[in-house]
Amino acid sequence: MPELTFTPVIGIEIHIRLKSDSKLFCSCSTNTDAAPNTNICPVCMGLPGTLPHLNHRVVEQGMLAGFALNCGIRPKSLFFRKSYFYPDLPKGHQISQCDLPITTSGYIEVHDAEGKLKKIRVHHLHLEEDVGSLHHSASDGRLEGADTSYVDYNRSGTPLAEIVSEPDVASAAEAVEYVMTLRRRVIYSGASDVELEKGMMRFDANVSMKCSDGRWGHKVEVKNMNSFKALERAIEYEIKRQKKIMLQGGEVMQETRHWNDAKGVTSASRVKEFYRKFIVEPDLPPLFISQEWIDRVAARMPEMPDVRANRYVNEWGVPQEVADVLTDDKNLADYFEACVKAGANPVRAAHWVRTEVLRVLNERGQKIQDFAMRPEVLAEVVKRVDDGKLSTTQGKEVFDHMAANNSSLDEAISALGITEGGVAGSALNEIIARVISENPDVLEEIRSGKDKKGKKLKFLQGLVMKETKGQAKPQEVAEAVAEAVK
Amino acid sequence: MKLTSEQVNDIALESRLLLTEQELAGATRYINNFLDMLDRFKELDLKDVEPFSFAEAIACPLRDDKVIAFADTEAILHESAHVDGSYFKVPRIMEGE
Repeated sequence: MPELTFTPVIGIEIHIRLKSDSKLFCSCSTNTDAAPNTNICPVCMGLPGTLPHLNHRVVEQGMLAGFALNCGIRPKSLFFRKSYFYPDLPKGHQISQCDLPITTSGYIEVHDAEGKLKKIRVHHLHLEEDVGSLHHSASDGRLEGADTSYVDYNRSGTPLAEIVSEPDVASAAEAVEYVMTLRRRVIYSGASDVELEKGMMRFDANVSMKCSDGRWGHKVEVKNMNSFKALERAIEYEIKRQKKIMLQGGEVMQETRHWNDAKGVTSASRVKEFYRKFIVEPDLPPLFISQEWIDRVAARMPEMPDVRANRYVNEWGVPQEVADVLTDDKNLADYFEACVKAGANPVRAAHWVRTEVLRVLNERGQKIQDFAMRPEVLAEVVKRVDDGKLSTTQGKEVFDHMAANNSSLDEAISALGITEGGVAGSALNEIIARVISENPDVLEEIRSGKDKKGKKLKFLQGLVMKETKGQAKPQEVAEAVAEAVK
Repeated sequence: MKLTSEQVNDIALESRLLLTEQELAGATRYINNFLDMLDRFKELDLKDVEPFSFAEAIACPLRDDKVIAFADTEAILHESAHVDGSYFKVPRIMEGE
């Protein structure tokens, strides 16, 4: 009997907070860090008699995010009421586009197990409002035994994009690459900052297994992953769990399971599944998007990070790994390109930004936007190193000095006592003469032939190198010192 | 399509309604009469007809992304009988326990 093989079939649902100043349907601030229940109003609290009023910018953010996922924009979309009963949802229904979303049919490219590019199809992206946040603790802060939950509605009504993939993902690694690539592209589009630590991206995975004997396991929805690592571990765990059940001849139950990050397991959710009832939102007529509007927003789309990285590799010869790092952050890539525009060699500039600039930023916990050194200045350092006016070591010293002191290039060079182009010719001869005159006994030993192993000669060469602050060429120093002691 | 009295009772509970047996029987009959009427639409060929949602052909009005803080958030908070500091209080809910 041939060995059974299993193919994971995984779909991913992602919620991303879209960037806007005010909420999706009211003018309250989207600042969720404010004191609890201060950014609320009758609309986002679902008080009777209020009407939702759609935020123009959020519609455009949805379009931008859609473009980032290679989706098409629908000329007509509609909002629905998704009704369920839960304390984080004050209206008793969530306004969501679900069936007639603003964008559909896109894709994100990832690498499969053999390293080949494959497309993960994006079914659609739709707009919806977020719910409030629940805090569970007893009045003394204990979690166990608390009999009350506390609700903060600052988040209620903030704009979300829900992105639903087709079940094209075949492994945990593909899932992680999918969400990371998607995140990077959405950030580039300007639709969202997608700050993970602020909970701006949440994901659920639908995992099922296809067996080579024709059996197909039920779909299990895994929730509660809030980091890329958690997503990867949860999917790996679920694949193993379902495979084991099917190998033993059992049946995988269709259910919702929660990922427990501390224990590294998924467990069946005991929360009762709601009846989610949908009706068309009667307070929001259809959203019409003209071709002219689509074109206007499309014109704002920047070059996407993977396209940009490929351009660095193909046009400038930047190594792929370096290009990927540079394009991971749009602002860093902008900085690098400004260096190149200012005349720096692209490959060298890429390495400088990748190693030196990122090192300083990491040490300081800064972003490139906070980095005081202008890209034109870094370009000048790179050029001078290229021209041989500064050695690589000197270039790095100058860079560090400028970064540490916010000084100009000339100030740094002068403060470090560097003579550009190095010490040579008469300047070098002057130093050698001085060193020899200060060490008459050493000269005597050499001239009397006692320095058979050349140690004394090397000693003098060392002193000269020290005097030149390492700015002379060692070979030139060796020859000139040997000549001077004859 | 017909609903059983159990299904109607489920819907009532979702709506936070407690029905007596008599009320449940009445509601089931009423809803099923309504569904019978809807069933008659099946006789029509509606394949190419777009679902009707709005009587008037108006577009969704849009507003600028401008923050206007609501002046009296305290009043909203105190609409509730269950408040602790600036939080609303609800019975304990722990998801995924």
